[in-house]
Amino acid sequence: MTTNPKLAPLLLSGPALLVFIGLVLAPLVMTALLSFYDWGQYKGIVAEFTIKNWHEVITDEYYYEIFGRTLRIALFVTAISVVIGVPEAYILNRMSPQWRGVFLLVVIGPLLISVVARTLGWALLFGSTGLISQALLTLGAVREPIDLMFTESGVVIALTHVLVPFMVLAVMAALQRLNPDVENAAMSLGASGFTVWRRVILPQIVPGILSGSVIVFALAASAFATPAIIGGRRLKVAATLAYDEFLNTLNWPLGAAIAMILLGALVAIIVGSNRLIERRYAQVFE
Amino acid sequence: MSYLALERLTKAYGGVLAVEALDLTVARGEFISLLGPSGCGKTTTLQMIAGFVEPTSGRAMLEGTDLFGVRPNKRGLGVVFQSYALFPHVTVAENVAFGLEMRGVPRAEREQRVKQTLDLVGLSGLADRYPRRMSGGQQQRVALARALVIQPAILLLDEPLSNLDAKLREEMQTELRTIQRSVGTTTILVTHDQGEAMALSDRIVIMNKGRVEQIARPDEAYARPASAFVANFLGKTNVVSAKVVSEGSRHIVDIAGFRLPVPDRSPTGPVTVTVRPERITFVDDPALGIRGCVHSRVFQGTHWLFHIETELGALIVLRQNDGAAVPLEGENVRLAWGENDLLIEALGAS
Repeated sequence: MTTNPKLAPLLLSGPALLVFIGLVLAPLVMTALLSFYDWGQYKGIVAEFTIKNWHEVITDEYYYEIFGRTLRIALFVTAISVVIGVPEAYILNRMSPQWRGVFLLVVIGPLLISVVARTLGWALLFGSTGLISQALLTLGAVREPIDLMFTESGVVIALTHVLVPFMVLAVMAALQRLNPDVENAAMSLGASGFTVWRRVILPQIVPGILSGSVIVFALAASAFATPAIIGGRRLKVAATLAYDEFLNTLNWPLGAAIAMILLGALVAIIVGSNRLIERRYAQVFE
Repeated sequence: MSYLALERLTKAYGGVLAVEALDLTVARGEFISLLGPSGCGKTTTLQMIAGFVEPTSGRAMLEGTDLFGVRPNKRGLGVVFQSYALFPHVTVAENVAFGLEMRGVPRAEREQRVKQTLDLVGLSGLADRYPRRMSGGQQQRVALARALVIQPAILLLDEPLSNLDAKLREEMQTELRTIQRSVGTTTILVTHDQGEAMALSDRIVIMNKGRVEQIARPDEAYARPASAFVANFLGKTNVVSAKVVSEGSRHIVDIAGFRLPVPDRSPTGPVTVTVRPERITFVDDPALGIRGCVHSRVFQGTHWLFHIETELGALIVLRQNDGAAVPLEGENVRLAWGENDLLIEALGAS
């Protein structure tokens, strides 16, 4: 049996392509189409083309607030992950291999625990009678009990906890590409430990920090379980909003429009920042 | 008075001695090579001087002050690494300027000195390049410029040429020597390449298993190696067993019937004899030397390399290609050498 050699690549990648089309592309296209369907309280979903879902999301300030909150939370989580994750990665990278293995497990620990168990654990700590509030009261750091439940701060803390590992892994990958002699070279030229870090190490791992930030930002902006449990129904973000439209209001087309806008915004931010990274560092890292 | 003195310098990793009680004095402006196989402790020695590795014991006195009491970033030594270790995120000029910046040299002077040093290493037009866009040889020059621009007390070179191809390496050797002579910086080179060490250095420190085997001028070490290890490491050599006997007032070494007078202080009894391949000659006199048969001969341009089967085992012989006829493969020959071409070591003395 002979086959056209030009067909071979297509046939070989066929199975994976089918899975991708079936499981990723098709639902996405269907969601996109759904966002242009009509919906009414009594008539349900009607296959009639309309842009009213999009119009509603884009004009109603209620949605602005929710998207603004999503963006704010994602930015805070990303910033805190950089501040915690970068030094963490640097310290881990300098440990002896045995200790590095142990502590790497500790760092990625949050990822190994079910999101529900982990988030409910935070809920126990966050309440006004929770551990954090009680501890701060006892220490005299605050006068009144503080309640982090159903607050943006609570969501940011819980999300940072689970997303920091992605930053650590991205930065560690960048650190491992560094030539260890370079630190010694800078030191021999008269640089103190801090100067070596600021002038030599940090600039070289910026691409790692940026790619870690893109991952953390995307995951924070599209996170569902943590904002749903810590933020509750009062403190909605884009993902919980879409969920509520689908399953509570049963307004699927509106939920689809929200999901598409979230997806569009994330793709725009990620592609945009990637462009920026590539242009800024093309000279040095190719 | 010596410029740099290493006194009983020792480094132990766990129970293993990487460097054992190394003593070395270096004069100002001298070019010293630490030569030895990998794992002999040469790089560890360099790293202790630079401050990247903490010594276990011993001192390093630079003009009377102990280097080990000074933090690595205050020692003012220039280091060139095998991997070059350039800063990839800044230009060549910024790489070279880094050490001056750390010293608070004002911008105008900095720029002038960077330019001078780049001229010195032959990189005048490339100040604004990024290291990744340069060849290995050019990166090597940048690394050298970066180390030299701070006018270091000592220049430390850690296998700086081993990542270059053979032709470029030879060029860089010549250039390195010229630059070192012109700026007069005291230099310590670490290398496993005996040719490089001999071509560049005023003196060679030959190391083996953490210990110094010999410190000598290159030609001295080659002509009078202190041990069979040195003889073997510095160029090709033949090692055969023989015995020394005393006959009347004289000592004679007997190499499978080939007898040569040796100095009276030679130990009597079984010995090993080391002979350089270029010192062995073919002789016609059937009464002289050792009988052998040419096993193979290889033409190497400037000379011929012979492998000759003898009753002592296989010997290698180098014959200068001076146009004269040379023996063919399978031909029977007689080999001989002079009494001054020998190195004699008592067995078990190594």
